[in-house]
Amino acid sequence: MAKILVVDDDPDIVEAMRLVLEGSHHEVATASSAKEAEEQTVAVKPDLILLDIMMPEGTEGFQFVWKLRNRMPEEVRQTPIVVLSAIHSKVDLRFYPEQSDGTYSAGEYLPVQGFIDKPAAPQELLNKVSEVLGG
Amino acid sequence: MEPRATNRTEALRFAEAELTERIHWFVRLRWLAAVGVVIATLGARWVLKALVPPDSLLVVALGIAGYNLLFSAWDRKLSAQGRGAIRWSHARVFANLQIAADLLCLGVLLHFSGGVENPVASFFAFHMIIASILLSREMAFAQATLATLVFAAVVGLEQAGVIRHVPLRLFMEPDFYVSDAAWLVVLSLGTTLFLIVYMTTSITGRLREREAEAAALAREVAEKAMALEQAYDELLATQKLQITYMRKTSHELRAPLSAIASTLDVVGEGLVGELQPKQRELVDRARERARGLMKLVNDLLTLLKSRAAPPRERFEAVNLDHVVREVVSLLADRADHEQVTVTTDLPAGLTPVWGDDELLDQIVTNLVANAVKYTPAGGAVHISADADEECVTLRVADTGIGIAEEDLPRVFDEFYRTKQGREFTSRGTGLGLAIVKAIADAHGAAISVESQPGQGTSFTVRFARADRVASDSA
Repeated sequence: MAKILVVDDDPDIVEAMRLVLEGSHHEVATASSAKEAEEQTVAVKPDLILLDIMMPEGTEGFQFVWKLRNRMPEEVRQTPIVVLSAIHSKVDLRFYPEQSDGTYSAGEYLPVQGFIDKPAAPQELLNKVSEVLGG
Repeated sequence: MEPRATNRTEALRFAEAELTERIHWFVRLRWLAAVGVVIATLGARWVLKALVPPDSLLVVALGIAGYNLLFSAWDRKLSAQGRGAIRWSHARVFANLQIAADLLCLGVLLHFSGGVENPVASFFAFHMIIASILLSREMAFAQATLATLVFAAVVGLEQAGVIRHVPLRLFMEPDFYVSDAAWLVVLSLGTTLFLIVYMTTSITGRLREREAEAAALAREVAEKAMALEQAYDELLATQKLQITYMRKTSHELRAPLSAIASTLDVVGEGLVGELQPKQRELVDRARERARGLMKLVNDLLTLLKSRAAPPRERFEAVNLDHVVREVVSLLADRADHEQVTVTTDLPAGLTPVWGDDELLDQIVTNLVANAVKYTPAGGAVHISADADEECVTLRVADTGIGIAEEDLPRVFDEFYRTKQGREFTSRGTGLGLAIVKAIADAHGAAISVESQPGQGTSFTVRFARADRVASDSA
């Protein structure tokens, strides 16, 4: 079973997802902000990160993805990410970095391993998790 | 009536504007007249061999040029104030004086060139026309009176022998000027002049009133257009604000809804302990309602997003057949569950359409999901596409419950659900087809619907071909 980091600023969502994942015997760590997520990623070294992209400001999730892939310790940089998107639209997930040091050009898709609609039905969530971990 | 009075004042203003504008006419025309007199005098002498005293006439021509120099100086002084600054009263006095001077001068000229015998007397008419156009009606009649009096004075003084008659001997008997018939000429000339003034002032008056009416109308139209534009801007701003509020509200609603649905899922799936059958039933109902509400909020957001005119620069060539295949595979489970057969007819190498792939995905999803939803078990949904010179046409046809004719014009309205639709299934936000319409509009695509109640419905959307748009913008 896998170590999964759930990142969402809504504690109820985090709790619900934790229960679902633990029900399938995954080990779950949680974070409610990008900063906390960074700390947890380094501390826990998760096999997978479930990331709410809209928390709490629109770009925080995007910045976290960029930082993880480019600035964080080598051993965690390639951690797979599944984005929890409440927007059900990949267009909105095109990355437009606000900082000038952003390495993604406008309109590029996020370098993540999957998207899942929020709220995800328990089975859907588990399917996605095993799909990403299995692949 | 007030507008009419306004038009009169306005017409007067036009007359004033015309006078100040045309005041220079007199001076220019008079130079021509002076030259004309010289040419006519010499011409009459050599060609007609008429016995007119050329010296006196040349003196008159010189006189005309002389007083025209004065008027010319006056005109320049008036003009120096700037055209817009010329005062109407000044211009009027100036014009009246000039016309009067010309009439007197024409009288002198006539006297030296045969008096009543000379057909040049008809030249009084020119001044009447100019006076009628540029002056008020009363002034024009006053000038006509002056002209008639001047002519009558020439004839009268010549008959009385106060001034010597200069015979022309062109058309008339030498003693015609002393006959009573001479007065007939005076009478007919006077009548002609008065009639000219009457007719010309009537026509110009009416024209000016028309002009004033047209100007008033143009002003009114401009004012209305401005008001309309302002109202439109306000409406647009209100609409924008409304959309912003709705978006914010929807986003705010979605977070707690999402938490509610997720939490209920955990309970419903028995992840925190097995439920009694009744407990499970209630939780499932709550889950169903939460999902329904979630769908409504999502649909609303999709609708608002489509309405907010998606940026055209995001448009690209999209393979509609790929979109349809993806949507059909995503909806396959649902169609199976409803026992509805979904078939497609997509020609190989279908021309791509010009659009936003995400929105095109939404439009196809909504059309197909709608068709599946309103088709009873055992029915079929058929999706086809083809391209012609202009467009790529997508057609989604079903053998469903159909739409009553009176509902057809309203099916694209937001939150509108037909009676048959509501009776057939309680599920539905009434936003699906509004989204379809908004996306079609955003793509400049024409959408139409045909339906036979109890037989089925067919939606047709005509998208722009990507190659057409690309070559148009190139």
